[in-house]
Amino acid sequence: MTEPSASNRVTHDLVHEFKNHLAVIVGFCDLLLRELPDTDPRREDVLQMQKAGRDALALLPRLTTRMP
Amino acid sequence: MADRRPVLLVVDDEPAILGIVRRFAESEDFDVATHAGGRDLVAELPALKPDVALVDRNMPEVGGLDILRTIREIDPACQVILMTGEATVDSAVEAVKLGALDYLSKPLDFDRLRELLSTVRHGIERRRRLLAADTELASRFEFYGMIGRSPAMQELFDLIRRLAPHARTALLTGETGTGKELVARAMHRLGPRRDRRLVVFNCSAIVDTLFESELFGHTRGAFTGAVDSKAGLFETADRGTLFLDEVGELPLAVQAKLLRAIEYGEVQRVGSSEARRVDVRTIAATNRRLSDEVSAGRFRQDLYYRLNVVDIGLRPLRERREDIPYLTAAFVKEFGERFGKSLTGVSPGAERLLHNAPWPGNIRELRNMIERACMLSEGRMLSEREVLHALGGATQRGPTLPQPAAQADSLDAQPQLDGRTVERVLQQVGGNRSAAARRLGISRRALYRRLDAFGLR
Ligand SMILES: Nc1ncnc2c1ncn2[C@@H]1O[C@H](COP(=O)(O)OP(=O)(O)OP(=O)(O)O)[C@@H](O)[C@H]1O
Repeated sequence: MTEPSASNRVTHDLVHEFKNHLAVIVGFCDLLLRELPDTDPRREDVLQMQKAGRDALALLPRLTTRMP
Repeated sequence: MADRRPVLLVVDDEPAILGIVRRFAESEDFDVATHAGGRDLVAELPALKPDVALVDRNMPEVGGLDILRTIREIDPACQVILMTGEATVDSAVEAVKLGALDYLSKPLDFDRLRELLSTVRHGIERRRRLLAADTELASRFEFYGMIGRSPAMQELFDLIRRLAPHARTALLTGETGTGKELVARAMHRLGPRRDRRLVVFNCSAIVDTLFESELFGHTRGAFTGAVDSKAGLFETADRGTLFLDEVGELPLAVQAKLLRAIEYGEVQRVGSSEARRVDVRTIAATNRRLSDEVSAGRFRQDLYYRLNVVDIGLRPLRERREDIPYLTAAFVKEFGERFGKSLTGVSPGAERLLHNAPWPGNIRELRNMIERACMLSEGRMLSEREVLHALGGATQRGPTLPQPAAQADSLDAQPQLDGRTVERVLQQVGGNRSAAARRLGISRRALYRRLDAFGLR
């Protein structure tokens, strides 16, 4: 194993930070979806946010594995 | 207490996560406490008494794994769930090996978390039911304050039940702390004299010269200090029961008079020639082998035979270890209530320790030890560590005190033996008075006098 380069470290830490923020976004979406009544039209909006958050999370590993 | 909501502790350095988990868990009927880091957590755990903790693995100050270890040690009843941004198989295995209930990745999967919380809730309920069942069982195996489910104890209860209405004398044999006094009390309560007095006299607690007047009384002026005439214990116990503990300690001269009192119901106050009639049931106890004392010429054979008509032997605790869990449950309940702590039992590790200890001081030692552990305990179960700590007192070597001079039997022979020293040594040996006396380098009788003098009895 070679030492991770300085720029790799920075990327790694950034990815970590992103993940935390995204986890908060998705977490609150999950909460809202539990709390909103089934008939509430805003559920659709929250579902959109939740999906976008999840998709963003799913992208993150590609950032790190792309690194040389 | 029965419908206390379970408590979830959340530890994460990200405030938003704390908020999310709080909202989720409160909707699942948990009380939630949050903490932004591991610092100061140790001090607060005892007051929080969480049933489950959800801990972030990667935090700047104190890592989640360290918090996991700490919680498992301080309060083994508290389950710990770790969460992390980047779960790997290795780190999950490590966490579970350290005793974590599970390992979750963020964002938290609420369905999984709900399952875990309900596992915890069921665990709490099961423990509560178990304790109730244990206590219920214990009371089923209780007989006049004695707890025992081993065949030996069940036979003993049966024997007492059958003998109590009839026996006029009885000899109880057993090591210190095996419950001889409790047996004597049960015999009295089950016998025809239950409405009369039970007088307890410890023969090792008094100087030789006073035995006679204690037991049989004295007339006014019979000896220096006898300013009034006084009835002896036989007269006090008339038509009731007299319990003579440590009967092997009685001097030979007094043994002859005791035999007469038992056999003919006659006592004579010191200084009087008049014989008085008493009707007393005598129960004697000893932790020596009286037959050996007889062979050695220290105990009268005729008195031995007289007492020995009914001989009840108490087995040491190490020979009936199956009683230990029941005794433990009863003592934990007793002292938990006394100290106002909601203790639900002992951890499996602690239970193993208790089961395997040698218990030279028998049930008294076990009881004293549980009392100490309950006093120390900070969780809802006595942990292995708390039990070890409380046990430690009984196995550590105490201070080595100077050997007694020839006349060590008078109170002032060792003025440095203050009440605190005596009490401490007594604690160290689990309340076993013979062992305490040995360690202090004084005779048992001298120890009893000190206990009296210091008001420790
Ligand atoms: N079977 C039992 N169940 C519950 N508690 C017990 C039992 N046996 C003894 N104990 C408790 O242990 C302690 C010692 O019991 P006890 O004084 O009857 O023992 P002993 O044999 O008379 O001891 P010693 O020989 O030292 O006087 C007491 O606190 C008593 O309540």
